[in-house]
Amino acid sequence: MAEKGRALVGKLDLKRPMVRAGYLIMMILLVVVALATLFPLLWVFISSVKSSVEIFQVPPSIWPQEFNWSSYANVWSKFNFLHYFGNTVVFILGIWIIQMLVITLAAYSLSKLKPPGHQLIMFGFLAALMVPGLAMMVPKYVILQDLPLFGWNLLDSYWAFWLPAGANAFNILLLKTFFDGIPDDLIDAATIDGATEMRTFWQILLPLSKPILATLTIFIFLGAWNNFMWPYIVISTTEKQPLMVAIYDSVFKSAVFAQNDIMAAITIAIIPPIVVFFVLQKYITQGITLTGIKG
Amino acid sequence: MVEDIKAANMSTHARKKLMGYLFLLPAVVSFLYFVWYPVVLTFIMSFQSVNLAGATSFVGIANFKTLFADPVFAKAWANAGQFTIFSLLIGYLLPVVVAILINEVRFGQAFFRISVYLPTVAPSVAVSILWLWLFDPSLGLLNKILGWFNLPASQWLLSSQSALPSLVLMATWSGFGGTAIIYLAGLQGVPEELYEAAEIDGAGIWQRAWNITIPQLKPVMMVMFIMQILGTMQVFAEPFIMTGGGPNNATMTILLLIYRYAYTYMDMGVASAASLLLFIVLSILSFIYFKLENRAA
Repeated sequence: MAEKGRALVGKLDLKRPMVRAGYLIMMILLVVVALATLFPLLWVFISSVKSSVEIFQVPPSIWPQEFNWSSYANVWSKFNFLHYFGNTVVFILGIWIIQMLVITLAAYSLSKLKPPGHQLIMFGFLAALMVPGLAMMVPKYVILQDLPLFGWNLLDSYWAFWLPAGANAFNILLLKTFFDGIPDDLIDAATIDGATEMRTFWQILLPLSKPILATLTIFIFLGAWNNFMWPYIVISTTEKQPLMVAIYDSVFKSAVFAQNDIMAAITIAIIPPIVVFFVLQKYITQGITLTGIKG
Repeated sequence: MVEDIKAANMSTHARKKLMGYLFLLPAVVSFLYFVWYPVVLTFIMSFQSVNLAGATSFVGIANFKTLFADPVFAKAWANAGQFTIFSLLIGYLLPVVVAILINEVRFGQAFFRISVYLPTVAPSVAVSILWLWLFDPSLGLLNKILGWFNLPASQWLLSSQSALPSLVLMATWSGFGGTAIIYLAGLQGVPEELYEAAEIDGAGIWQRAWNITIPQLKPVMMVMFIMQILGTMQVFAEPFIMTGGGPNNATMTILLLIYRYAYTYMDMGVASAASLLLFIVLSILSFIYFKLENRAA
């Protein structure tokens, strides 16, 4: 019977004083690392509730003399959070819908239908993993400006993010690997019963894939919510900016807001991803275990 | 009757093939438009003079000549190299150690897991603005902490000596937890019996660490080594928000320079030439990454 929950250091080791002391020191170090990681995030909040006088105190106070919420009222009244929040929701929803549709169908085909030449197509997708995203910003910009064969100008529009959303090699690969684990017999049985490919896809494959779809959804949400550089380059109309771009452009760079107001805006912007993380932790950990990649 | 079934099978088979292609079509079109064509276009535009209106003319290797004559371009690559070395020095072993320590925790493991992972989910805009505030020489928290230990205050981002290491510090803070969680996932796959058996055989803690824990992490560590280099070569948003590449180009990164050529100097040709060079270097690194990952799997 192995000791439950043990790793390197076992119960027996801990009976030795030297090991116990070393273990204690290591644990203290770990606590220090955890605090050093958490405190900067807490610092955003602490700074946001300092008064406009206290925020400019040299050296800074570690804890606010009193909690001053006026920065929240100030930033909320002068910066239209709800509008930009709405923008981000639309932005993310479009990416999610299109990417899910494109990659689930592609992964289904690669894993179960396997039309002749599917290996070659798979290779084409895989090789795309080597193409770094933002390093290609210039040609992508030129393509979005005048979409070949269509002539559409997608700049300053969310379509510039929605249309390319399906070109995600990593997520296709992830889904295909998951679909590979679903027995072919299940699919064949449905086909013999006369189900079309589309029906098998909707009624058998997708319901069985809920956990992996949840993981993908979280990664898509976090990625899109946090995305800054590319939306900043592509979206030029202020009213259309997603929240992160707007916070940079209209809060951080504006002279209207003091430091505590800026910190209040950031506190508000950080909350949704953190809440999503806490609520859906299980799926994130599962995604990491499945892929060996963080988000 | 048999013929009927055969015919039905044939048509099922043909339909399956047709549907197979049909389902792949949206993905293939997406990749053609937004992955493969951009690569081809980078190559073409590198040899062209392109203005924002889209007019083009062939200019041979003039764009590359412009790049190599620009001292900032060399500086950006030197910075990338320095950034990589610093971040490997500070940040490569940290996640390994943290993962091993978290794995040793007997209770409250979730607290540590969550704490170190949290910065990973914070948006880069928020992280950049926060750290700009932490780095502030007089109003910032970091110099206050240095003061507690009687250490001299630093100019952080404001001096060209400390600006790049400062960015590395921030990048390490925001990235190490995510990597630690990946290592942790690997460590939790080690059965308890394995450690138990080694202990019974008389292996000490260090021997167990060396012979069980480290071999478990080694393949992932190799992959993460390349991943970290790939990541640091593509740093963009943080210096864009925090320093604009300064002071004195100390934090100029390759992507920031490409951005500047494209959108400040409006020279898409030179920007493409720089992208092409970066693309080549990154592809070689990614290729190594895949070789390693295949060996790890």
